[in-house]
Amino acid sequence: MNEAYVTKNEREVILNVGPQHPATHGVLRYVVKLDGERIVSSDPQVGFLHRGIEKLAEYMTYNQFNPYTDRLDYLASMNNNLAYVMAVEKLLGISDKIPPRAQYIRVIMAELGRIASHLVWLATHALDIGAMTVFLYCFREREYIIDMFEMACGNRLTYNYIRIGGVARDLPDGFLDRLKEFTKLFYGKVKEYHQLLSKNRIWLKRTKGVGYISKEDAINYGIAGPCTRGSGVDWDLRRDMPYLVYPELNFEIPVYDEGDVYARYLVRMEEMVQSNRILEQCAENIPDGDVMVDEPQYVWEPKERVMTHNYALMKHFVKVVKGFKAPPGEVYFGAENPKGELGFYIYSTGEGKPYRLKIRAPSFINISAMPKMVEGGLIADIISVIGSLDFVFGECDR
Amino acid sequence: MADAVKIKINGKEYEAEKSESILQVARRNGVYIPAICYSDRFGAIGACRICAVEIVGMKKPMLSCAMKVKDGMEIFTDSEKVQEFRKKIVYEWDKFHPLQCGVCDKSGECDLQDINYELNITENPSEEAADPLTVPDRSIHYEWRIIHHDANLCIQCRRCVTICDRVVNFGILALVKKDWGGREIDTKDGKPLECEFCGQCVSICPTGAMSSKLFKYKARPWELAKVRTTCQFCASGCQMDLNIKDNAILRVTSEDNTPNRANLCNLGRFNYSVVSRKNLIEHPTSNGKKVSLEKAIKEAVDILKSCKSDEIAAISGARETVEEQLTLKLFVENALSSKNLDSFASTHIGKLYRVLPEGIEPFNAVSDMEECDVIFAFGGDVANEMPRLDWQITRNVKLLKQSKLITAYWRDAKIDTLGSVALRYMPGEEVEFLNSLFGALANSLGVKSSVKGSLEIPEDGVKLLSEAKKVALIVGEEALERPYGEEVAKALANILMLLGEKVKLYASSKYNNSYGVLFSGVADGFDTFGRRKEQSFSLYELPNLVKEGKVKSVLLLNADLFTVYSDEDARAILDGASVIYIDSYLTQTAEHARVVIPSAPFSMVNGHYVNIEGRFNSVAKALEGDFKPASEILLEISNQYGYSIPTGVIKDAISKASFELEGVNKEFNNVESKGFEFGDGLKGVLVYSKFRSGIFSSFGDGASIAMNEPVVEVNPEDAEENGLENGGYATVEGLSALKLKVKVDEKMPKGVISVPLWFYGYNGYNLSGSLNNLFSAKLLKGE
Ligand code: SF4
Ligand code: SF4
Ligand code: SF4
Ligand code: FES
Repeated sequence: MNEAYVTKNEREVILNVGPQHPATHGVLRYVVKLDGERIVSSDPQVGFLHRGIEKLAEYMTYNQFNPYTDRLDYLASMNNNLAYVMAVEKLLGISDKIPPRAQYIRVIMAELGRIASHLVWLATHALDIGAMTVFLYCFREREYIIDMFEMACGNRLTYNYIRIGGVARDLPDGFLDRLKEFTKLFYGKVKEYHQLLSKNRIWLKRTKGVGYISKEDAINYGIAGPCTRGSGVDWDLRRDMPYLVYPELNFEIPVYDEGDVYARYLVRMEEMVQSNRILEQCAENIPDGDVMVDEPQYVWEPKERVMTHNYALMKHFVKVVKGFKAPPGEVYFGAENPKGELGFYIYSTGEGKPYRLKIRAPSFINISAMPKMVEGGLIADIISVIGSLDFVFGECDR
Repeated sequence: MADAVKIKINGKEYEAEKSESILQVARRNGVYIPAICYSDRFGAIGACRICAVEIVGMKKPMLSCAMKVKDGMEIFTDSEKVQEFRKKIVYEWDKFHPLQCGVCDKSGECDLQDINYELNITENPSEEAADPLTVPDRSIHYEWRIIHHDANLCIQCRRCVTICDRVVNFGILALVKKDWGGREIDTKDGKPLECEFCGQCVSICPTGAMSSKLFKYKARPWELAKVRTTCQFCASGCQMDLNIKDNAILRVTSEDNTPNRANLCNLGRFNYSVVSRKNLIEHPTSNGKKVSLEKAIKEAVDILKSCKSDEIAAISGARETVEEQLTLKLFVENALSSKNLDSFASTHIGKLYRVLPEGIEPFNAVSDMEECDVIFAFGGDVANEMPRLDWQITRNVKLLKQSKLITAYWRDAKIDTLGSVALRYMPGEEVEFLNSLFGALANSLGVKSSVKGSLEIPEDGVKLLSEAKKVALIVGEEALERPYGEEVAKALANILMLLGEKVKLYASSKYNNSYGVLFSGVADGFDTFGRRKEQSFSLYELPNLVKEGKVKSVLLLNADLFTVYSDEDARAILDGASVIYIDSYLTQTAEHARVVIPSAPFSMVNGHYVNIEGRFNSVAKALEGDFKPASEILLEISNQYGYSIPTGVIKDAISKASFELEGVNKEFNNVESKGFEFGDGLKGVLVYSKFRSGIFSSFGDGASIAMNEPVVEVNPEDAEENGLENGGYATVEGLSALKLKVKVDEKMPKGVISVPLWFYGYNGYNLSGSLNNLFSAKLLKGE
């Protein structure tokens, strides 16, 4: 049994934080063993939001499963769509056939998603520590992005737009103008956040030197994304295992060595700026053209063909009812998501549905490093560490 | 392996047997070759050509379904050449195919759709020739019953023709030349379809060309949830899937891997609507008035308590689950302490299994019939009594060509069209015939016995039987249901004993769980697990016992009295005794019984049926309903009676799922030479229809559309003598009279007429008297 559950002497107290607790960011039950205010050991309990999503995938065609990925990290639905869809495309062997315009759109959505997700992180992280104003600022800018998502796909939550083979439809008129407007304005906004927090004494006290994890431990625990980059690990899939048009774009990967909550804070703050740079470039360089690959075996054919050619109609029914038949084999694809590496592993036996689908959920893995980060710290550190790990239970519990 | 060869498929080596086709070897090893006309149910046709493969050294692609493997053969299953070849075939199919997937019933499970997808057809060089929006100009057979054929959707794979011919052995379909120059699937004579309406053609058609009218436009295949269960219409125990949507059965399908090889007959496939609400008893009644369930149960308990234990009798209709039968058994024996328990199974198989000789295996798998080089079908029209046996016989004789068929009956029946050694007797002569056969057989086998009969048995039959390595002995229900059925059974037992180990016994039964009755010990002379016990009460005595006032209360579980008794006797029981009736269907018995308690029908109850093979097949609850299973009702009655039925005992018995039924007779029986004394009129016989199994079955659409009224079958000469015409009406006189439609059939022997059983409102037993299927008949011109 985990030692967090067994007291060794009468000084030790076991305390349950959550699963119903506003600062646990969802349904985390965090068990801590305390000696006074000091944390002796601790254990995160997950699974309260388990919906069996991986199992559900085995009963769905590849297209049917796409919207389910929205419900993983629901703060970055399109990033999840992207990671999933790219894994399927890898399985189908059509990854390099995705039209450039679709690739650019995907990058736009992914980076907007990253900013939107980081904004929620910052808002709630600050709120947990007592800074209410930041929350309001962040949600103001996030609204801008959500409006854009709504323009593209009609949804403000569980926005689902990226499809196997491309994206659902071309960007609506006016979208790129909105995007340009946003990118112009956003740099100033990030500065505002910095002014509110980065030199704030309370903020520094609650974050500096708190929740430390060494570079070595960060690697050993397999944590990913901004969390590792705050411990000096210079690793970002967009640059190091590139996909889509990222190699054509200029951006930097912020890395800090301190390994504490503050370092992770700075990484994300700067990531927002870098994302904004990417967006600027995309808005400038996006080419015209198709947004869906021409692979009638795997994607819907245009309605006009389906309604006039019997073979197209017949195939359409097969694709809808039974699902397209992916070649047998196994693939893994991981994307750099706001929370870290979101990976999909698919095992196909050649049927219309995956035989097995496994999700590498960064939230789940990042939580596992938490006991290490809080050990020996104060009980209040838990709150700031939770904020700095930025996990979402839709993804963690799956 | 005896004739082992080695072949290479796509560069990999496989072992195979000479007799196998390339397709079979490939499938066995998980190598995929598309095949549309081929089916394991009937083998290769060679019509669709889609299964073509490349064989090294051969110029043209060869059909893998028809081509047998040869040593050293090198095969490629999806080389570019064959893919091109296959594509060309699909282009042809697509050329005239209407753009109808949107409204087609097959859409979503259509082989044509699948093959188009699989070959990724993205063009069609000949599509200019026909605009798929305007093509439908071929025949659509709206006039056919139950089955709908749309020739526009047909790809002429001939699966329907083949299954009708090689599996069903009916052979009414063909590719027929039409005025427009091409060919279409149609009946051979061009008349509207008049057949067994089994829908095997629907089940095998790869496209929507053959479809079920009963299912048409009701649902899309992907909306249906499939629930595997066992057919409720005969003791074959066919495995089938109820296709459910919105708590209703919309169609019935079956899979190739079932013991019945996806085959179903008219009743199994189309008669599912029998469980629709209008056919079910809606609420409990007492003296014809609607009461609550509690009240009805209380009434039942009061009635039973007011009688002495030997004044109570209980009868099972052999349709309920084994669970329900065991509950009945425990209730009657322990709570009521009554020995008066019997079942409809006693009218036929009960008689035979009571005298089963020692050492004879009581149950055999139907597919094991394939081990038999001789099939001997006695005493009934097997095809009508149990279609599954008919398919197996057809498979043995026509498809695999490995068995000879001997039929012993009073007329030529369907299975005789397979080519048989026909041994004939007249109705009423069954015992005499069996004794004669026994004598001849004993003689040829050199066994000494005094049993002899007076009939001449053709030598070829005797020779075949005595030289056979394995004999499948099929016993018709009809012969055992003769009033002298016990003697028939004894005579059969003698023959079984004579043939000894080389015989495989199959005794047909129209009642789906008549074998469960033997297991649960509800039939007279049987105890639980099919153990033998003293006979104590027979349903044959019931009418008299009631009339004499010896039985005052009768508990009926699914036992519709009109299924086995004449109207007169059934009414005598219903009027003379307090009848408690537990059943699901609105039968005549339900209309007159003193207390009626509705129980959950098939598809709303879980349990088991035991089939002719002694197999415990599960029956699944597929529909929600507010009905209680009969077992729960009986538990409740029993509780109020002061006895709580040990349900654990029932569970244990069923989890054992094996019989302890052993043959007892060690010596040849003395058989009384009993028969039936016909008057000087015609010989009347009650027979089974393929479209009925109990009167309740007539409530379903499949059965009633296929055959909505009974027909009296008459020999042409008899018809002429009595001035009757085919399709006209005649009054048949026996003990009473029935007006029936006439079917003139030259296969009927002269002087014999037959009347089918179990049509609502036409009780055949009114002609012959209860529990009897022979009568002296007169025919009068009707109208
Ligand atoms: S038969 Fe098949 S291809 Fe033709 S309309 Fe029906 S579903 Fe479509
Ligand atoms: S009706 Fe169906 S089974 Fe018969 S030939 Fe046409 S496509 Fe084949
Ligand atoms: S009635 Fe008998 S033969 Fe027909 S489907 Fe049912 S079990 Fe099979
Ligand atoms: S499957 Fe071989 S020809 Fe049709």
